[in-house]
Amino acid sequence: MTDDHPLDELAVYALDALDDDERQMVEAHLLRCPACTAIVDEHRSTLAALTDDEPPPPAVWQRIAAQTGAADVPTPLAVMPSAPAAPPPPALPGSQRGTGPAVGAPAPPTHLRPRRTEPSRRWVAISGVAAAVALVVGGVVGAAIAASDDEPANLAQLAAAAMEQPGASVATLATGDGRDAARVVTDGSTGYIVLDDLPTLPAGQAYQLWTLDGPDPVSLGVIGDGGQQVATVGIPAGTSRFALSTEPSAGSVAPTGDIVASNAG
Amino acid sequence: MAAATHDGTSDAGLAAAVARQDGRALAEIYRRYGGAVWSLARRVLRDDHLAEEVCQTVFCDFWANPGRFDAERGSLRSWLLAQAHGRSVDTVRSEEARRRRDERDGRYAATPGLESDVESTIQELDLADHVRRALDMLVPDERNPIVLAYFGGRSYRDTAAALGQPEGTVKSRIRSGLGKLRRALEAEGVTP
Repeated sequence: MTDDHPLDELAVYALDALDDDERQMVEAHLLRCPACTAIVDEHRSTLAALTDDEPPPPAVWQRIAAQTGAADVPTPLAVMPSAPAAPPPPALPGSQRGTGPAVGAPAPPTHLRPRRTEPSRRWVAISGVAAAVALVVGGVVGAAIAASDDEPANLAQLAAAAMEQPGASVATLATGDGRDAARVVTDGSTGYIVLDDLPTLPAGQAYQLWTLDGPDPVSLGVIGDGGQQVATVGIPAGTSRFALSTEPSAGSVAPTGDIVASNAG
Repeated sequence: MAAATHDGTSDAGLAAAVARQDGRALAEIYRRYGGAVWSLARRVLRDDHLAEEVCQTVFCDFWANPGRFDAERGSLRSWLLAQAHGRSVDTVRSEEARRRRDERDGRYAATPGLESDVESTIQELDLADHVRRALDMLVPDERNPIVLAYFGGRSYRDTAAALGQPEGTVKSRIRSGLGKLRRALEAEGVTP
């Protein structure tokens, strides 16, 4: 089936029912054959029509929100409140004003941050260290947010501009041997993570940002594999201690990988 | 209460917003397709706990790697369901590897009663009426391998063994069955 179009295998592939060897051959073929790619897409759309909707348990979204850092967004299968049209004005340091994207939505209670695995001993040790860096984040950023569907602005420029805002704060995260590796920036409405000196991770891994302010690390979101230098993140007001770890690309509910950088000691 | 800012956004617009790590866009995508992803994972896995894990993984993976969805290649719903199916099948196979030859395997052993087994499987799946009617328009030789492979998470070799049919025959019947299923769904007013 190397030269011909593997039509039978395309259908079985769409059912995820091929052997590994055959699947790899089909995938290699698909890379250079748009016609067969279109056939697989058509099979998939046929199969998708077999499935109808069924409301998932609310806990599913709560875990997704906690893991992605979209935690201020309420369960989306309920009616969602509207977002403010404009970013909120810079907040006073330490303000607990709740002007995230979901107006009036309470901060997620701690029971929405389930932990499947116990944090490693290193994490317990680190979260016990007193904050070494005085950093106050103004306002609530809430879920990572881009205010519109306009052309995406260059995130590096946005982060650089954010640092110039009055009331902006920057936390520098250092590696274990004291090298500055990343910065968490907020201008009071939007938060950014800037990876200054971190390697791109192998496939299947991603950096994940955590806050260590509470008794346990709480996810602020999966950042990606480091290929992109700047990402937006949601930084709740008052967050001061951060850490980055390497995790499986889907993220973890509690840190499982090595801490690569932190400002918490 | 006003609706969310993203409720009128196209799927492609939402996917682009997720690429900018817009949490509200992810929430809107979940609102639209979380139910379908959950429903498919649950049907394939027949286990709510495992289905929850698959559902969570599909959306978290999409958040971490939104570039894997290509709006040129089809709908976001179809793509998310393909991810959910692949994950569910992986889970089924690893569960199977863990407890090989359990009674669930025995259930599909090649026996004269298999056809009624597949029929009862279709009953248990509790499919929408129009989906059931579309499946009914296929001959059993085409319907059975699709149901066993797609909803049962079985490989085509496993399916062929269960049906007592040659593997090559099962492959080509899956292909012809999918083509007919598409036309049957269109006849039911669904445009896949």
